[in-house]
Amino acid sequence: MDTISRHQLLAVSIIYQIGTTIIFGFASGAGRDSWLAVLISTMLGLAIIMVYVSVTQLNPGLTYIECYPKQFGKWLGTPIAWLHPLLFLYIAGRIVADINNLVPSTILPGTPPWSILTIFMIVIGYSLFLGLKVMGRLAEIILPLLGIIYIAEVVLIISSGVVDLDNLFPLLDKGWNRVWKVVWPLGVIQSYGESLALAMVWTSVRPKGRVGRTMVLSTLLAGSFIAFTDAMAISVFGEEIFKRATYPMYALIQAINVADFITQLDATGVLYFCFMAFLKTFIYLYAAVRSIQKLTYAQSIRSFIIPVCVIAFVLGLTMAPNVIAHITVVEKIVPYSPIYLSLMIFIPMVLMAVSWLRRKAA
Amino acid sequence: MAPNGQGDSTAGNDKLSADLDTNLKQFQAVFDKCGDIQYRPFELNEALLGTFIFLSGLGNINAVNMDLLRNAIESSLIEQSEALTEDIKAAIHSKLGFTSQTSWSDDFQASVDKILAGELAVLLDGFTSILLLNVKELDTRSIEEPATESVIRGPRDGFQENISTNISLIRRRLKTTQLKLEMFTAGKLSVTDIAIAYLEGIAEESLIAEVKERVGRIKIDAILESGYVEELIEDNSVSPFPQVMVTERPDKVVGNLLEGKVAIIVDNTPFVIVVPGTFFQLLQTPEDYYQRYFVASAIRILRFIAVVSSLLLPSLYIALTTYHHEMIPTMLLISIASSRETVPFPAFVEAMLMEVAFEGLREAGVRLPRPVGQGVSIVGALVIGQAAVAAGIVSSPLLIIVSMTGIASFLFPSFQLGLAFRLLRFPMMIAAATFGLYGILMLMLMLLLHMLHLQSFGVPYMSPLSPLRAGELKDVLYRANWLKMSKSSKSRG
Repeated sequence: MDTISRHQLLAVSIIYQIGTTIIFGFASGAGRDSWLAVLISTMLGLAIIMVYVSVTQLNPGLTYIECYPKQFGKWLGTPIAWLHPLLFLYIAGRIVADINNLVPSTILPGTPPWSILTIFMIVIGYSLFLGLKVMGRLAEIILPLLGIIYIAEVVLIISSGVVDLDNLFPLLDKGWNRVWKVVWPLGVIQSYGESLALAMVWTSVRPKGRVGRTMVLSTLLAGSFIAFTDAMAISVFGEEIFKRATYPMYALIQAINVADFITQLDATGVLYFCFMAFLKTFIYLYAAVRSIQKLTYAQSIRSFIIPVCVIAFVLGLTMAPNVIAHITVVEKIVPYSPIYLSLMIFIPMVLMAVSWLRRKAA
Repeated sequence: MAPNGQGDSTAGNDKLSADLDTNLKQFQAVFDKCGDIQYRPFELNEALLGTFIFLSGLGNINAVNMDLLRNAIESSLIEQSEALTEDIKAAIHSKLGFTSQTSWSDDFQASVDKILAGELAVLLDGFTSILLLNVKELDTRSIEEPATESVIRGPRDGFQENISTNISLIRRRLKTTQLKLEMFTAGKLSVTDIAIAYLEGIAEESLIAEVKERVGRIKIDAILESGYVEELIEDNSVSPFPQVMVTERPDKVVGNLLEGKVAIIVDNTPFVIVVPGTFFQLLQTPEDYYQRYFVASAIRILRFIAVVSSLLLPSLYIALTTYHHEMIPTMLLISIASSRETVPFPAFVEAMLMEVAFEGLREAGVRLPRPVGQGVSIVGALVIGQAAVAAGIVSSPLLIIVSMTGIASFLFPSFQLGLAFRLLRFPMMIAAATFGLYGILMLMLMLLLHMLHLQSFGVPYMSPLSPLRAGELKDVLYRANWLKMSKSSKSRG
């Protein structure tokens, strides 16, 4: 049985939720109030995650995807359930497209993107074959390492003398409006609503129980990490540059300059990003293959791994013509699409209500 | 059975006949062209004939011994020479059992096996049983300091080729009945003795059963070294990483037995296998526990740095100079560029050239006879040295990288693990040359995933770091004080 310990789940969730925000930033549309927007999104996101947790707790023994056919019946539940692997595949494709856009344009300008993605997908495929257990162990080792690197980075940024706390004020000078605009729906969906894929992992946690507590802890840690990093980026760049930068966090690493000796560490930033993207893609594709396996009543996930990897590869390669289009879709279209909103927020709430009522009736 | 019974002679059969000549012929037929088999016919008082059969060189047999032996047998037989009764057996046992282990065998094939194992067989006319005396004493070298694992502080005795000496070296350190040694033999032609050692009550039952099962499963013609056993019992034989610990040091074996591990001692080799082997265990030396713990912890950290640099230094050099110049501080970049100016090769070819030359030199140093070995180091100093730079073949920064990698790879306490990292350095360099830092990251992820997936006898290879057992980390990342260590249940001796 492919299991994961609570500690490993914590590590996986933190890395997963911080995820690609390490490069893309979070809620940068809110200008200098963005860190506040992050905290509010975290609180709302926490509520959403608790909905997912309670759904799996109200249907013990079932993975998240299996709750739909059980609660909504075969004719309504199964089609809804089938939407999930498709959604997971699409988001995985988006992350692969992130790699497709970022890596060739920053650290490997002359290398053909397809070859970069091929390597990426080979590693993903290998990790999928090894399973969740090994990935949990990897996250467990890497998280402390990332923590150390991050602390070093913060120290380096501060010692570069570019931090100006005045940039953080005045707070909320343009009112709450722009804060709410980034919080709903983008802020809630990004990182937190996307934790839906993690719900496919929760049933593998051994020893069982206390998944909710672990998820609360990871959400709060990831949220405060993102808020802190946002605040740091604002204090370094000031509102205008922060708002306009395509990769605000990437620019943050570029700002490091200690005595003209430690400079231009941007490649390391891309490496974090690649690792984060790797883990996120893994979770999405794992959730996708687990869902497909559960829905087709297949014995093992192995036969779905290669097709799913190929689909994600093709999606990633063809999804967006350029980085501007790619990011515009993420910010302007995806959050408002009915599929995202309903699958991540509304339907789970209905599912929770139905599960709760049925349980009470029984 | 009647004495001198010619009729029931069954040459070629497993049973022995009562006739000396028939038996002797049977043995001579089996030992045909075995030049090291010796036959010594003798005659007892009662005109009873007999023959000693033994392997020269395997036993502690000389003229005086044989004469004494003959006398002892004679005096036991004096009362009754008609047939072999329990009385005679008992009499001979009591006379000879003091000096050597005696047994009677009436099975031909079993006697042949025992003779080949170094026992002395006594054939007596009129007896259907053979007296076998265990006089095994193999010529071995004396106990010396292990050549591959030397320490500054610590015991200087090392295992040698004789299994019983090796067992005694372990027993000397664990004078307890909890230390169990189970004997097996394996190898169709070599019939090699294998001992499985563990501490009862400390090693887990399931582990002991698994080791016994896997050792019992071995089917091979000959076992010449414990490496054969290692390969036949390990979990994943397509991995570059060693999954068992191999050591020449008794104190290391005992320390691991105290941690609940199982040792496999193979005859004819000084290398003892300890299972399960984990990555961090392979990075420890017994000396870590003999030196002061501050120093030992610092050395452990140094070792971790060495592990990373032996794997990554050349590939980082390639990646940085080929793809990510901007990450190198400007002044350093200028000095690297100016020294690379005369070098016609790309960084990858340059690094590959030097690494292969370095590995070649290292291998040559191992194989060459010692007097010639010095020549290698002279040639090496010239090839991987200033001359190569002066000739404009390589740049001096690369020379520094190669030397630092070399130093780092000498720091591995386990030679086998060092070999794995030496090997993995090359794919790493290829990854760096094709995809820069991204390639290094992806290959590192692959490697880490593989290492995290590996298991040795049910124990994850990277434990206790992952899956995390926080309580045991104090003996992995650094070496805690003994006062703190003894609080954990599994402390190392």
